[in-house]
Amino acid sequence: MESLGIDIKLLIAQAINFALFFFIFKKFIAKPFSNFFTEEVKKEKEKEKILVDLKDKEELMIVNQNKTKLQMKKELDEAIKKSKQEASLYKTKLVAEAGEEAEEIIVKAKKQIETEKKQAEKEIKNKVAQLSNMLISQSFDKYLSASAQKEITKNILNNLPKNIN
Amino acid sequence: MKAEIISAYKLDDSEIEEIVKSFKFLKDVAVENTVDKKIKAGFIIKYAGKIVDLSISSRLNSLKNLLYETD
Repeated sequence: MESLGIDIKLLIAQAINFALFFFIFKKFIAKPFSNFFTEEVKKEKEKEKILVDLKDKEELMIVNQNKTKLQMKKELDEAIKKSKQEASLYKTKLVAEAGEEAEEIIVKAKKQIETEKKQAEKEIKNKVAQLSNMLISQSFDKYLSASAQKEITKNILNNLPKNIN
Repeated sequence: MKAEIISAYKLDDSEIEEIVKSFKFLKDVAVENTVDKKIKAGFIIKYAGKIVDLSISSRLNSLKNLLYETD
């Protein structure tokens, strides 16, 4: 060995030195670093997971918002449509009521005209009757002679049924 | 109780007799003739709450009422 230039003691010392270095490195440097890295990776993964979750949530929220917007728009459209229908119905109802009222007014007016016409006719008829009666009465006063009166009495008696009780 | 015959002129006896003959309820009843020119012609008999109106004025009134009632 010595002829090969290898010092066995030095080799052993170096081996021990290496083993010690390896032991110390593994125990106090490599392991904490490894743990640190593992932890960091874990944290990164968690962060990514959280980000993905957040993104998912955001997307879900956007989808929900869109859904809500659509739903609101749909409801609004429905409400507008319903309102328009109700307004149309109300308008139709109002027009119908106005028509009915107008018809009622026309009927009333016609009735009133008819009543007034009848009243006027009645009054004219009464006047004519009064006038006729007055004329006949005056004619009788003027032209009915005593002989004519006697003739009337005779005529009445002749036309009476016999033996009235 | 007297019966009253209202006429537009003074009735003569024959006319009164004819009237009495025509109405049985006037038999044996004293009759008094009253003149009322308003009745124009004909006569009205009033006796015991009964009135028989055969005057021209009542006919005229009937005619007037008929004219009123006719549509």
